[in-house]
Amino acid sequence: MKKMYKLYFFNDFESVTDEILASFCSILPVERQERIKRYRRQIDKKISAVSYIILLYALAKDYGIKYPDISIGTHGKPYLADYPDIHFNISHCVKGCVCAVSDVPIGVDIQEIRPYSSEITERVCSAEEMEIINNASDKACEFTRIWTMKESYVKMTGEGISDKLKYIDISNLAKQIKLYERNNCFISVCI
Amino acid sequence: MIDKIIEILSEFTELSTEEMNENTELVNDMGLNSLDVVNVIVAFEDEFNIEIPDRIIKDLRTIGDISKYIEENV
Repeated sequence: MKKMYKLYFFNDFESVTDEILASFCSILPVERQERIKRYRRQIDKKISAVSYIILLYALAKDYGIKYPDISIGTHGKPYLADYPDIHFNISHCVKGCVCAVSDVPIGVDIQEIRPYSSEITERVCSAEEMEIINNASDKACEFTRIWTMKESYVKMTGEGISDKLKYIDISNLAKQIKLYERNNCFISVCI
Repeated sequence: MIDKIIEILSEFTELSTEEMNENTELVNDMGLNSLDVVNVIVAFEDEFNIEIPDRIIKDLRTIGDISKYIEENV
């Protein structure tokens, strides 16, 4: 049976005025409001608010859930204790935030393409992945693609990283992962 | 130790060093995403000549957590 999911993406942070941000914050849980207040940069406040808002939007629109009670699992993955069959995951970078909802465990990661670092690549990539990156015409792009795929897998399992990131070889996982590109970012969804 | 950690972290954030203390959280206060955290961890590994296993990373939530880990493992 085909696994279904929906993906919500938002990147127009400039359109989020101070008034809109304030109205978003007014419907967020207190802990989230407190976290947003602690951020110094306006962009971080906006990203944090919008990430939660699109989750609320998705849950209301797709499942009719208006006031979700979000719990945090042992390894830090948020979930809905009252709705064990509804799964979601959120990710953000400065260029956008994304929310995935599904009836199966799901992980999503968004990452803007950043300058290539051989040190970071060697730290987190398997030998096979490093070969793919080294052979690529755009290493920064290729690394980011592979990174989001790994991250989306780790976030799907919700187990955290139990072993070295290097041992997660995405070429084995490619069937479970869909890749999107938006706004010079890669978005990976793993189910 | 904490001062050195804050100095390294200040390169990854717009927070000033005065605004950071041992309770500052990397993700929740500094807004670091997953790749930022890897960059931060690698920076500490290089600075303190230490290896930080990937499975520990999620437990290092605050500057204090990092400081404690480095002190115990350096």
